[in-house]
Amino acid sequence: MSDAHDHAHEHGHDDADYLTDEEEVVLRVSALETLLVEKGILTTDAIDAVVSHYEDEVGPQLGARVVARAWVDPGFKARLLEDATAACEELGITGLRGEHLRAVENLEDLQNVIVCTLCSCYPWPVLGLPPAWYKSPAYRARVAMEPRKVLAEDFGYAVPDEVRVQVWDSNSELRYFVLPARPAGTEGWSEERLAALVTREAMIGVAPLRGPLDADAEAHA
Amino acid sequence: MNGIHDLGGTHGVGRVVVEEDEPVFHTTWEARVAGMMLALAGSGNYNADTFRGARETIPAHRYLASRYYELWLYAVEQLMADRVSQAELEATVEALRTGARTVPVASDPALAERIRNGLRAGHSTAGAAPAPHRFVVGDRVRARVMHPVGHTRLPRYVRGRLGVIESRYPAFPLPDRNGRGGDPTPENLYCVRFTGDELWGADAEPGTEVLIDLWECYLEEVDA
Repeated sequence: MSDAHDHAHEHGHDDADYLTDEEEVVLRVSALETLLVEKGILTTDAIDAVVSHYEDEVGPQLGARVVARAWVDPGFKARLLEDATAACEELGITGLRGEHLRAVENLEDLQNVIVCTLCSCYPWPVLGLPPAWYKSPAYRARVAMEPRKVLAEDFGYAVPDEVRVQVWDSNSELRYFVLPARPAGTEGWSEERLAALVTREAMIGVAPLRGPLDADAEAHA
Repeated sequence: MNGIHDLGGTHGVGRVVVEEDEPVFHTTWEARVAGMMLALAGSGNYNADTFRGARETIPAHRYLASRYYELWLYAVEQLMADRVSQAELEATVEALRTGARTVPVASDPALAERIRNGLRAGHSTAGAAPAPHRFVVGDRVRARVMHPVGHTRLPRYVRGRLGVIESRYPAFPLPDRNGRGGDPTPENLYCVRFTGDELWGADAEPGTEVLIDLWECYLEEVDA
């Protein structure tokens, strides 16, 4: 096993919160790998293949490409909203837990938010593996009942009263992601430049996208 | 099951904490657990429903106190128990602790390629509907009241509540059957819209709705 991750051990929790000591978890995981490999059930490189796939190949940059394409190509946007699986496949985006994708569009009077209250279902090929907050009991417990409060207090996004909030509880093999609105002031931008604006949080629906006008407004504030 | 995992609407869970610049895996052990879980699934040892069902069997007091990938580790241990026993695991932990054993390295490029291709291609579990859809878009439906002991994807917060069919989806294995015994017989699936008022009463936030996917047998007709 490599030590590549050990420097990044900032879990956002105090280990004292947990019943199991970190060192014991490491030993238990290593014991399982030892036995699976010794018994010929798995190989080291089969495990490595999974790790490198999710560390190096997939991530929210893929979803950002989908969103940017939809902003510049109305035909693609229509296909995306009709059949997101097929539209993503046009861009070469396919994979496990993305066999049945659905993109839901934010409108002036509608904000979409994605959650999985029962576990952690998420559109892996489009957004990668979910962040810790998405999997956390706090988000899963609260966002279906009090989405406005969660977005305002925990993500700094006060959704205006006149904007409806739809929370999509992803409890099946359908996997949802949000198509955010294109920020003002981006007319004529290239797809690549647009994609760089698109954040994971916006595609989960918990944060707005900031465009060049927002940055200007802050600079002059 | 009415497990601790069924969290929708639970109070007392604290705030949502967002990590800045979060890595895909925080530690090597998280990466190894994810790698083992998906490589085992990709080589046919269990399906997504049995995996979710196994995660839910962790004792409630441990569920909230576990790191996310500890839940995966727990589930993999349960699902592989007939090939890797708890006694073997405990003995191996002690041998690794003293340095008497080390984690072995083995290679099978064909297997690794098969696993990688499986992740890239995915594998749809949608199947032929056993019968025509019973409901059409716009139908009013009630989520059934049930409290099965085994795996289900009908969360408590929608049981007994009135909703409206938003979409008809293909048929998928019913998690209750597939997760409890590997019976993948497909069942029609729908997306159902519930208003915040219907789910949370006077405590609902204004202008909020929940859309959730429900299998046909989770739903009953409501007289117009």
